[in-house]
Amino acid sequence: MTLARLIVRIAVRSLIAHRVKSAFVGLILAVGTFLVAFFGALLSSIEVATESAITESIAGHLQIYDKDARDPLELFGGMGLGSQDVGEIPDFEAVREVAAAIDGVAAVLPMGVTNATIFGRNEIDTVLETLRESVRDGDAARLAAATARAKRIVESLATDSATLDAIGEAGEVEQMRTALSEATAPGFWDALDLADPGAAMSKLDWLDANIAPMANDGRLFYLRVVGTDLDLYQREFDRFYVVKGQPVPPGERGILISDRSYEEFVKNIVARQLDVLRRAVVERGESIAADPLLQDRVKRLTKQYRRVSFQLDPEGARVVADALRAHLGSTETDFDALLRAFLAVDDATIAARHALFYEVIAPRITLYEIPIGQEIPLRGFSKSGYIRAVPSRVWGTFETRGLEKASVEQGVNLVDLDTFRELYGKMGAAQLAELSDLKREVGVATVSRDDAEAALFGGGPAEPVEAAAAPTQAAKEVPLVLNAAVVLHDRQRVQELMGVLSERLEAANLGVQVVDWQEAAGVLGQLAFVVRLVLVISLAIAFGVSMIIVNNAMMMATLDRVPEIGTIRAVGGQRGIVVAIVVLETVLLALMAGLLGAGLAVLAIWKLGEVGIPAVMDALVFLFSGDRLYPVIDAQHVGFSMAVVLVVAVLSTLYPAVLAARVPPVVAMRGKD
Amino acid sequence: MAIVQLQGVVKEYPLGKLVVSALRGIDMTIERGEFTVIAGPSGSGKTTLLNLIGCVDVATRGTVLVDGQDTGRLSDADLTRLRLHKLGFIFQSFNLINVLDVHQNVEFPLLLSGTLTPGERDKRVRSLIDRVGLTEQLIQRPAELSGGQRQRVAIARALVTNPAIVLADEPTANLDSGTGASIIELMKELNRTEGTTFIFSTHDHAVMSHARRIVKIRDGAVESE
Repeated sequence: MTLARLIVRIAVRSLIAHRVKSAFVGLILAVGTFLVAFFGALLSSIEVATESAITESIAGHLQIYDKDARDPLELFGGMGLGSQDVGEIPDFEAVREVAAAIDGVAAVLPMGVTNATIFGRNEIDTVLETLRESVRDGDAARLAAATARAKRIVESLATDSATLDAIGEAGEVEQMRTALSEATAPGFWDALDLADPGAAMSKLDWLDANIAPMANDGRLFYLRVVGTDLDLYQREFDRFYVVKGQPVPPGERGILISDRSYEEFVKNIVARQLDVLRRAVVERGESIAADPLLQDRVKRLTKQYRRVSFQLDPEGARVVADALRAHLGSTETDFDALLRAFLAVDDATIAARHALFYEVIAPRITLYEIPIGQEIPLRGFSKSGYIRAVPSRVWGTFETRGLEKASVEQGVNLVDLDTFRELYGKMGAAQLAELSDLKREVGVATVSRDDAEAALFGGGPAEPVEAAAAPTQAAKEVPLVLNAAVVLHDRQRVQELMGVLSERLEAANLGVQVVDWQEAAGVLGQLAFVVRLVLVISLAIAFGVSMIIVNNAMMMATLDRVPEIGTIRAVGGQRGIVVAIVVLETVLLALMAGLLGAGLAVLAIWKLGEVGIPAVMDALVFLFSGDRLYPVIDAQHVGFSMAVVLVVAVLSTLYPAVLAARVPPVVAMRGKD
Repeated sequence: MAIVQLQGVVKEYPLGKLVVSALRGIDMTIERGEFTVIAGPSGSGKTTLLNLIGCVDVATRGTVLVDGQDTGRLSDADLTRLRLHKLGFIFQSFNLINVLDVHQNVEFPLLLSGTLTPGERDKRVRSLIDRVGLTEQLIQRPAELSGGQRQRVAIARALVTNPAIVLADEPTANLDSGTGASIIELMKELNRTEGTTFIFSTHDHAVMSHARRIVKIRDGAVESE
């Protein structure tokens, strides 16, 4: 037997001899290891998932933007309100060339982020437009249907005087009542025929001026718009897929709206409320009867019946009324009352009524206020402060695979670079050409101060110093790229390639900076960091407490062993031997407890990796990069947790060990005392 | 030839603001191979004297020479080495390491000194255990032994390094008279056969009757020899 083996034997046997203390300290260390390994693995999995959600949705792995930008780039929006000023990339092609030349770079995408608004239209606006189109096109059938719809709206408004009181002041209300009595007077609608399109159009103008303001205003939708090379985007971001409509065809302009925005903001409010109620009751097992918030939602839903009734033509209304009567077992003849009764859903009826709504009503109304395929004016605040309206076709809606329920993702909508440029307030090729032509037409010329008199009043050289730019020059495309996403082949190389890219861009003097996805994602990117920080602090506190407990337990154990330690010292054991025995004891305990804790963590993560952790909140969907997180644990987590627990164990034993080493050998002689 | 020499040894302990003198100027010489008893009533200072000779404590004033080395000038590590190689201890409460068996307890000082090969070590340990009559209990732990057997293990451990001096602090105090007598007999025999110097403290007259030299201590000073 060697001394080392004897020390190990003393340590092991001491552990067994003090089994209560050993079990107590071991349990604390095992729990500590479990926590570090379990939450370490969980956090790593969340980090990987969040990284994937961010890098594979819009950020790419790296982002390049103006070095002198006033605000930091925050792709998903920052804490501040309004648009950020992230400057411009002066020469995107040069940047792309430098980046694409680096081995490991898969793609470089031009981008820009801005805000835009869309106005939804109210029902009267819509029906009046249909009436105008019918008169213009001479479409008698469409005209008749739309007229009936318009009549229904006017009649409904006339019978609901409370609405009028809510809308305007006393004088205005009186004016409205007069207008409504005129519009409901016999013969009013007879003028709307194709025999005299002029008279029909005047009647429509009158309706526009007097009746349309009485309906609820069309709603304003706020969109966060990312302008990019859509072809490249659709190719490089694997998670992108079109839900409704179609991708923007190559070379075409247009917008792809986030499907969740489309569903939650653009969809008819009655449909939306029914969706929410069905999800709550059927999918989440909640109860309208027990939840005042859901009850309130039902109450509001019954008041929204006009968002359906105003949209139905007489034939549609008849079919819907029949279906509702059959479903409700009712003999009600008033359509609005029937609709209100139908919308008064409860726990028992929501599923069937939701289904009936989509089966019978939805196909007969405009389910989405901004229909796909329609061209809409996208309004953006340009940098100089004025509002630009850019006509843009809605090609479809899109989703990011796995992030369908992530609320943060709904803010991002995609437009082509030309649309973005115009929204941002920078002229595109067509506008520049038009401006140039205008300049030429009206003879705008740039004249130097010295020659101004001669140029204005004749005499001297009458030729302008600089002629208006020729259209060919003006038509030269002005690329507007605020930032660029760099997609890498290997996510492990983000930091390495960020360094290489920064150096090369710096060397090329292109006036840009490079940030990684985490920084570019703004607050969202920091989320994973914050989660980690909170966890690390919690674990540090837990370990701090564990250290104190272990330290105390070891102190007690050391005090218990003072005579034994004194004997070892008296018979010739140096202080080092005593320290070795005490520390080794804890190290052995930590190893055993660590293996147990880490083993349990591996089991727990393995099990969770099989069933997945559900993202119970929308915010978690983004962090989890999907509806469920399937965590994984690897040797690194196990090794790290063991190392941490060993360090903690040794640190908490050092003081007791030093105290033990200080036990004077004379205490061995005090047995009789 | 003197193995222990004490000259003007004073040992004082601070007790709050007071200073208690445990030894008040002891002069004493112990020759190699002696079988000496330090006797005196409780609190007379005999254990303090034994501690100083055993290098587990140092004198406040005066000189303690053990095998020619001035213990007052040695570091803690040197004192530990001196204890390991020159001294053997037999404690009143046996002071065995409870988690080790008889063989391992006896072997422990040899492992600390590291001077013998494993074979030599085992031979020496077994021979001493045989000498103290515990061959049958070789792999038993202290808790499984009687008081007398434990003290025999302690004796074997004290002698295993072949020390120049064995110090025994009231070695029979926790034993019945029969066992105590047999322990004293054993120590006498080892003194005779091995030539080891034995110094032990006691206030038991039966034990004192076995001593060849008795140093009586009272109130920290040598009363008589």
